[in-house]
Amino acid sequence: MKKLIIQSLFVVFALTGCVAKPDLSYLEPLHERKLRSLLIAPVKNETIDVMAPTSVLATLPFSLAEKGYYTFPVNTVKVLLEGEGYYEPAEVHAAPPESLAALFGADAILYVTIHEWTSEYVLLATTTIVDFEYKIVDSSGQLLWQARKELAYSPQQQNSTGNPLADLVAMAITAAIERAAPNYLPLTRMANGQVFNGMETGLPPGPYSPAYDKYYQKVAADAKQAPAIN
Amino acid sequence: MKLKLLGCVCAAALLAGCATNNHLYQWGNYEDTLFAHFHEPEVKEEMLTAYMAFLEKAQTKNTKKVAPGLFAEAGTFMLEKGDTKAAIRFYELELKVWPESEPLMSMLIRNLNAREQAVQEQAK
Repeated sequence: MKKLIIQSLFVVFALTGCVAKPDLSYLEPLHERKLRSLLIAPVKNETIDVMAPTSVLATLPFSLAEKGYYTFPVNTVKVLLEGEGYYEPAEVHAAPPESLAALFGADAILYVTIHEWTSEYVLLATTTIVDFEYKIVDSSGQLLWQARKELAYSPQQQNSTGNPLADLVAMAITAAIERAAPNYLPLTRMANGQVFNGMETGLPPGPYSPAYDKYYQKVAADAKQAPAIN
Repeated sequence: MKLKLLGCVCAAALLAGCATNNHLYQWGNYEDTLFAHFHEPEVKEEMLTAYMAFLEKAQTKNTKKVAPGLFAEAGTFMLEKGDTKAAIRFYELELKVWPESEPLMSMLIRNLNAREQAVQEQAK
């Protein structure tokens, strides 16, 4: 019994330990660079869905601008790059980030790659899956931040009728709706939101965020308090 | 119990995050306009008309700023329609509101002005 108490105490300690000190070292390059503007590069597609890259591109400005960064106009950037001969996002991703940032006068570039964008119909339920890779590279070509997010969604049949056959029919209808108009966009917005705001990957506020000044005052204060081993 | 409390704190933090983050700017139907522009030619014009009306109205309302990039996108849409003057006007608006856009907007405005002049000289 005593052993159990000690053990659970340890568990609690371990838990509080985690809570008190989440690993925020990934933020250091971002704190150092204090980005103002982000160029959202055309999205690279590794799936066969031709609508995927422009759909994801359309959702990105909202989450980043609302964090307080200046985001370059994504369609204008796309049109200009096409004018320069960059028709394929993969070519843009392969180009030197230094010249891309210089061309637009951006502090950094966000590169997003779609690894998965599928809607699978399995046994009366359709599951939509998205998998994105995000990278921020600054105007000197240095990788500042990266994240990966996979999300899945399958609509739940909420209201059972108590009649198994009727339930089956209803499920088939829900699946048909989901197949016709998969929930890619809400899922994409959710992935963006979780990556840019979530634990372990969230970006610091940008200069237009009302939280910006307080945030960097705290960063400065924490840096003073940090023990020598850090 | 501790975990439960942690869950509550996390949920509260998430909610608070949403509340503060949600409305920094006016976005109008920007996302839908982009989506229609890329994928739905049949509603593209309709969306664009609504978008331009939103930008017009947003400037007269003295509430939140129009989100970054939105004036510039209007400029590019106008350019696509062949309205260079309107394009320049929107690029100038973007530049005025967002200093970060200066290098790009100045370049676009300079090039378009030069193009306009060349066209006018040809017409003489």
